[in-house]
Amino acid sequence: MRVRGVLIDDTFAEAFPMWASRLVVTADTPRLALQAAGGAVGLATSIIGCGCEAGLEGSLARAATPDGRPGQVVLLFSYSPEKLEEHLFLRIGQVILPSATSACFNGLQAGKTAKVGGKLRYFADGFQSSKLLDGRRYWRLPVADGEFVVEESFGLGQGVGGGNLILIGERRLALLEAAEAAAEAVRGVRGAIAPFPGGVCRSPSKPGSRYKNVRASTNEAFCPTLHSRVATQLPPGAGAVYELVIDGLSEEVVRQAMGAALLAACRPGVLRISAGNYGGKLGPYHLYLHKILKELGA
Amino acid sequence: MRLTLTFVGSDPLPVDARALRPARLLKLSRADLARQSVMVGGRTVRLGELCRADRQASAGDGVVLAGATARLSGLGAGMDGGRLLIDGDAGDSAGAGMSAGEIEILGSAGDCLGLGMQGGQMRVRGSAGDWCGAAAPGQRSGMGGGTILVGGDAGREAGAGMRRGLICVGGDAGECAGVRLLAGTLLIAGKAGAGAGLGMRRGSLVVGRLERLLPGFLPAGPADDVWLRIYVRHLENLGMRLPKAWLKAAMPRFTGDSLELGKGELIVHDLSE
Repeated sequence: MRVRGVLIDDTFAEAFPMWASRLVVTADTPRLALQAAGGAVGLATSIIGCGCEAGLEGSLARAATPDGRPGQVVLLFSYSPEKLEEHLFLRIGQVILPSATSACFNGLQAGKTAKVGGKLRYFADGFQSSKLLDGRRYWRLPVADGEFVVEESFGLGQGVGGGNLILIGERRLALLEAAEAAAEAVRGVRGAIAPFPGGVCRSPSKPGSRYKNVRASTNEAFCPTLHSRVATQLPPGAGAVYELVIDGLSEEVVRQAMGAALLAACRPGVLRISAGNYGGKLGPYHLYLHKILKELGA
Repeated sequence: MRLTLTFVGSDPLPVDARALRPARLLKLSRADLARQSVMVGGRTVRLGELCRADRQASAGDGVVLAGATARLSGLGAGMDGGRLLIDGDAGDSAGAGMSAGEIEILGSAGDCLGLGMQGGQMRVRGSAGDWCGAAAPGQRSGMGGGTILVGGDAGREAGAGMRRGLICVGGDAGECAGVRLLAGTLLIAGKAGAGAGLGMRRGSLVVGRLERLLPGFLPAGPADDVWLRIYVRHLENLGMRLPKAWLKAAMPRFTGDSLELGKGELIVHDLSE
């Protein structure tokens, strides 16, 4: 199958269930909200090394935030509710709390919750107070520019991780433009993130390594510089590969994000688009590229 | 189904309307409704002698009380669900001790509105009398939960001994608003009378205008309004608007009452002294 001249492999991305959380970060200005939220998603590219994957879902207008200030939405994903709670506590406590004028609210109603604000309140050393409004408790922690307001509980819901696309191109610059366009398209889908810097990953990995303590290693089959030394998966003329990893709050959201990214990436300079899977052994969600494109009428 | 009870007559004696709870009234047949007894002054009277009943299947759930409603006291007292609309004024103790449900009074309410209320929502389009959301006689704690919205003014000692919940007064409040406040939130858009926050231990009292601060309140910097913004947003969703000026500039904040625990906060938009 070809879309605008780009060959689309007849394969699928293999996605798997993850635990998800959604934070609404607000501040006095859009810049401050972005600063706090952007910091909170740092070092959260891959669950393998970081313990969670995180990214910015997008901005929120004043009218859509609980306190009527500019906001940003953060999505966090991890493999267990315990690990997710640990990262919520760490990232809200160490990044959002110290950020000027910030506040943090739960953005996901789910059956399971983690008491995050309810634990962070102890930072206030006895000077904390709370407000209970409409069944939701907000903790007020005195800080040096006023108060940090954080919701007591955050929803832990089922999400989907591991959606992905592998973009193969002739030249790095043109391919990077396509990959960035695809990442931008993911940002346009609410409930989805591409957790790598700028949404683009240059180091597709494979599980395991020839070294016993290394859990993941470079996927040599996609490295142009190893073309002549390994069983490559690259077509002739390929000079660069970029991967997009996509997590979302549901399989449907990941499917939508992959579709938007696929269409955005089909542009000159891209030779082929593929997807990573483990033969169907890793996860229950098999997102077929051809099927996604057909659903979009491509 | 909607049940409308239209009260007739000009007898000034108060009617003890505590038995008129929506959930119960909606289950009664027309005959049982007419036989329902209520106390008027010191004597027992059948409801059928005081009002006429109309049922409408398609008008939504709830009970509407119309006509001469100002003499009905204890309306919705102890209510634990359902919706009660009073198309007129209500007497004393409306919603006292209610734990759930919704009461809306299109006119004004008498004294002791939501006295010892534990949950649910009370909305008064007009004004409320004294001791709105306050403690019941003999009790230390006032309102323990729920929301009271008063579009007009409130009388003296609004929120006295309040322990949880929210009271929002769109107009002015009389003397000693938030007296002995234990916790919870009392918002007064207009002017609060003398003695606001007297003896408060915890909780938040926000007032539009105050002429004189009690000596037990100490300056505690400009108020950080994030929590207040959440309340403003919530109240807007309920159709209640607070002054926009509250959120335009940091309001002065005081903690007190130092003669008590001193952990309460008093935020004043316009302090005249």
